[in-house]
Amino acid sequence: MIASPEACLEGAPSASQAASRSARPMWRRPWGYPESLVVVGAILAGGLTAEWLLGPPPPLVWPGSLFAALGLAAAAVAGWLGRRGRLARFFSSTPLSVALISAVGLLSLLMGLTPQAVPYPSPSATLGLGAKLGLNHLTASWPLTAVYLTTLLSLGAVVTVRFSRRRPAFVLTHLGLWLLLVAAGVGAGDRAREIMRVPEGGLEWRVMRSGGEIVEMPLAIRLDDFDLEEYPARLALIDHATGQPQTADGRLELWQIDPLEPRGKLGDFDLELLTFLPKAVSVDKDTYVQTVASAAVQAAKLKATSRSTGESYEGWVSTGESFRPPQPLKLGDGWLLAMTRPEPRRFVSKVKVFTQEGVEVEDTIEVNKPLKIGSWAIYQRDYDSGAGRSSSWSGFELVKDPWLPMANAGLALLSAGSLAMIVTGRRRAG
Amino acid sequence: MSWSWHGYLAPLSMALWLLGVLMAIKKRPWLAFWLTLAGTLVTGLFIAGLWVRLERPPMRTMGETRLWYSFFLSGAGALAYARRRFAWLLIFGCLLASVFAVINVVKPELHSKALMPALQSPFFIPHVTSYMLSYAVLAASALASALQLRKISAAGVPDKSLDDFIDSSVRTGLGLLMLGLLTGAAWAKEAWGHYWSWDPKETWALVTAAAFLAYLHLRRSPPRGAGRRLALLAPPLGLVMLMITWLGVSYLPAAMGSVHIY
Repeated sequence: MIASPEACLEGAPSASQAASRSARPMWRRPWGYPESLVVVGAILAGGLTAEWLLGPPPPLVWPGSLFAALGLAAAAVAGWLGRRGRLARFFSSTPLSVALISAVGLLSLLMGLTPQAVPYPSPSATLGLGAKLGLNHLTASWPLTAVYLTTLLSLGAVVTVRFSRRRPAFVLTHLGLWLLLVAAGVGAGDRAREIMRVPEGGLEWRVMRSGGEIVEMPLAIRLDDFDLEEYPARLALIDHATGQPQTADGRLELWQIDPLEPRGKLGDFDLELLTFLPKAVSVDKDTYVQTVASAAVQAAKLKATSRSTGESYEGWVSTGESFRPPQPLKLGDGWLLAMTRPEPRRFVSKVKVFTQEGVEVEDTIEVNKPLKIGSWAIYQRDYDSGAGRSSSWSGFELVKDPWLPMANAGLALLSAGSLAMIVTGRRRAG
Repeated sequence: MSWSWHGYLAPLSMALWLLGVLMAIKKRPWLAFWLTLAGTLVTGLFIAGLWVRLERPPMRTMGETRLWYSFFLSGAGALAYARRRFAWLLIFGCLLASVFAVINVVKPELHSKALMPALQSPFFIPHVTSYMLSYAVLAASALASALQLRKISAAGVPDKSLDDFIDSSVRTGLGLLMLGLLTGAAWAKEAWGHYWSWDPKETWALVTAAAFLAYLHLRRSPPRGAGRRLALLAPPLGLVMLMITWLGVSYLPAAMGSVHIY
């Protein structure tokens, strides 16, 4: 046992106290580390047993979720009313916090190391031991649910029992975390996410779920236009004999087209970019012109010189399009120089959304810029990546989360608490 | 400033860091501080130049995040040295910064201009920078904990100034880690519709946070017997988790389909 410096810390026993208390029997109050570890261990064991006997917990849905949240809030208030009592003291104690943090860390570690599966496999599937104990679908299992609920009870008690205006970082982080975890966990069953694919020029109000079930939504989307902007394509060398692209150290060797850096090397060839047209149509094999049409390809005129033979080749390469294959440049007998599929810079859907209540909104939706309408948010999800710019449909994700305001409040408080922690970092811990 | 400049600027940074470390060993603190900071600024200048050249924040590839880590590690080492005069902190910061600079010189990755639409978000820069800064600060706290453990087993008593440093660096580092996590959550909500989806990188960030949280709580009330030592084990353990979060996740079987593979 190390003596002096700990003595100034709250709750730290001095050497002599420790010696006299080291023979302290289990379960004598106040409960400390041994009791906390046993309690949390029992909760974990209970969770594993419940999973074994009952299978995964059913999702909590409205109004059950509301009652659960109110119950947790009531427990926190009860903790404050009985703040001198043993139970409130134990739930707000640091040893229990450490035991719960360890349990959350342990379960997360398990999740981080092993692939997680869906919680409800087909009834005919034979379940392994891990699946029976919930270990391969932890996020929807009794063990995690039990630890999660205990953590919420503990956090609620910590906030009410140990509230102190002089410790803003402490109050903000714990209260923020409580709000966020209630909204995220208790509200999980009330969240909905659906995937809707809308053809260009068409109107859609149905979504298809993973099982193939078709469901009608309370809103409809009309896709007026879909637009895709691309980065300049990259070039690859294709082996004429095998059809395989050139690699170096197991990685695809690529040359990025960049008008600012027109010269470069790819494999055995020195490349020079002579012309680059980001949106082009071909007049014939040797002539490309710039266009504004949406069904355009990227085209580049290049000069490639082989470093080993000294021979040079000049010509156009282009990306493909739905009715036209990509055009490569033949470099002697050995290689083809070809454009790879360009990466998207931005994709935007111009839509009109109609709700059952008669609300109509005309707007654009793109990645990172969802459209919020009523209780739903509409996200740009995907498009026909094979067709690229001429994709005939746009995919959306429709998300509803009635608990979002509470989660956002939690995020805001937790952010403020984290900032306070950084600012007060110089002070002593605790 | 294209990526090829790194071949010249990285050795310059490393030379300045080496001089800074030598001055720290020779007990010339202000010279040590300014030389190290100059090395950091050279790296910072390269990051800025690359940013302008790529027309996007250089935070997308592993190589680019290593640049930031070098920048923050050496910078944090210099600042903490100026404040507390821990020469080991300066040496450690510069050494690790050099390791990552050398990796970037020897193994430059494909650095294209493309920034996929999901990354085009106002949260991108605060998310990555607060993580890189927290990684630097938490790495220092882990090293300090290891030093403290050695001091305790040798002398039997912990060093007071080291204790203060560990406490404040874990608080600062964990605060930054939480900000990285929360900006990531807010961003994910805007981009994918949900703020937490148990992506393997998220799960490992949670494990990392749990280790440093355990330190702060164990520090408040150390258990009997094991005493302070148990708390001091948490930051080094947290650093291992942190390195798995940052560098190791891509290699785990659990990471198939993660949005954080780059």
